[in-house]
Amino acid sequence: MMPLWAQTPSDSTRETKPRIRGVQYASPEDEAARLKQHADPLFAGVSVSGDVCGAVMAAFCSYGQYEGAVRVNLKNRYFPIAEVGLGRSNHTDDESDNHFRVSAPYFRVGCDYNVAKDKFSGNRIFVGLRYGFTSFKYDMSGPPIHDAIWGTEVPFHFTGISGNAHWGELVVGLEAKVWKFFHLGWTARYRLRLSEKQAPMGRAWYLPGFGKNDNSAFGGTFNIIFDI
Amino acid sequence: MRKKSNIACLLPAQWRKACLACMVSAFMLVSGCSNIECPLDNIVVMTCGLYSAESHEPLKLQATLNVKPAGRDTVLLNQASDIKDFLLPLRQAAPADTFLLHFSDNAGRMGTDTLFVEHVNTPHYESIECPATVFHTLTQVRWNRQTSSQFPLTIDSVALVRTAVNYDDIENIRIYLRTVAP
Repeated sequence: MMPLWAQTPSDSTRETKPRIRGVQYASPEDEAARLKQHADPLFAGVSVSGDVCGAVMAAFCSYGQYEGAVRVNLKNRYFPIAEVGLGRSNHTDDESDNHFRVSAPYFRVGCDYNVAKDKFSGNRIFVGLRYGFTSFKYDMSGPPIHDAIWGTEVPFHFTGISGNAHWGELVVGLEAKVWKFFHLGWTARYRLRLSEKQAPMGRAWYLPGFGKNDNSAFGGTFNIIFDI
Repeated sequence: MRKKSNIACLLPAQWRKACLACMVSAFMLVSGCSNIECPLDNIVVMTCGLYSAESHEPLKLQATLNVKPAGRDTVLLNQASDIKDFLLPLRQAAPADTFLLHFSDNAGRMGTDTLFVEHVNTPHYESIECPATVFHTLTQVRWNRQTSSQFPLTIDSVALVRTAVNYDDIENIRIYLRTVAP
C-alpha cells in the first residue's frame, strides 16, 4: 500500500483552505499607512542629481562635462527635468597635431516617463526626450599650412571662434533607490543634431553637452540623485 | 533548497542594481569608436574651363599651353594640349595671383596672355584628424594680351562662374578664346 500512497497527490491529503485574493494587512492601521504611502498626488517631490560619468570623462579624457539636473516628480510617472552643464574639451590629435579647446555651458530640458509597473517602489525605468542647446567659443590651432609652390607658410591658429548647436535626445534609463532619499541611476542617450552654426574654417570637434560633433551621437550619464 | 554561491547574492538587491549601473556606465565610457573622415581629394585648385568665344561651347585646345606664375620660374601646367580645362593652384599667403598663359603650336608661333585672379584666403580644416589647408573665394578675374604675341588665339573674356575654390573639382572660371589675325 505504501507505494500507492506515495503516488497519491499530496493536495488530496490536505485540508482545502479558502483562497484569499489581494493584499492582506495585519491591521487597519497598517492598511491606512500603506494607502497614505501610495497616495498619488500630482506633485510628488523634487530631486537634484549630478553626473559622475561626465565628470570623470572631463577629468581624465579629452572631453567631458560637469552636469547637474533638477527634476520634478509628477504622479511618480512624469518627470520634467532641466539639465545644466559645462562641457569641456582639450584635445590634440595624434595624427595631424591639430589642437581643439572649448569650455562652455549647455542646457537641456525635457521629460522622462516612468514605465515601471510599480511606480511607488522607488526603482524606476525611464524613457524620455530632451531638447539641448549650447552656445560656445572654441580655439583651434595646428601646424602652419605650407605652400609648396611659393614656399610660404600660413599660420593656423584661431581663438574665440563662435558656434552654437541645437539637438534632440532620446533617453532610456534606470534608477534604483539605495537609501531613503538617495538614488543611483544611469541613462543611455541617442542624440540627433538639429542645427549647427559652423565657422568658415571648419566645424567644432566637440559640442558641449552633445559630444563629438556629428549628425548623431551616443552618450550616457551615471547619476547620483537626491530627493529634496 | 540549494543555496546560490554567486558573490552578487551577498549584496543587497539595491546595491546589485547600483553595481550594474556602474558597469554599464564604465562600458559606455570605454566603448567608443572613431573613424577618420579626411577627404581623399585634398588638393585645392582653381578649375579653368576653355570655351570658344564665338559659339560659347567648350573648346578643345589644339595648341600647346604652358602656365607659369608671374615672377617665379615654376611650371603650373606643362605642355598641355588637347585639353578642355586645366587646374591652377592659388597662392595661400597672398590675395592675388598672376598667371602667364603661354600658347604655342608646331609652326613655332607663340603668344602669351596674362590672367589676374584676386581672392580671399580662408584656412580650413575638414576634421581635427585632417591637415589644414587654405580655401579661396574668388573676387575678381582680369586678363590682357601681351603685345608681342604672335599666336592666332587669345583670351576674349573670362567669366567667374563659381567663386568657391575648395576640394570640389567644379569649374570656377570660363576662359573664352577667340581667333585673331597674327
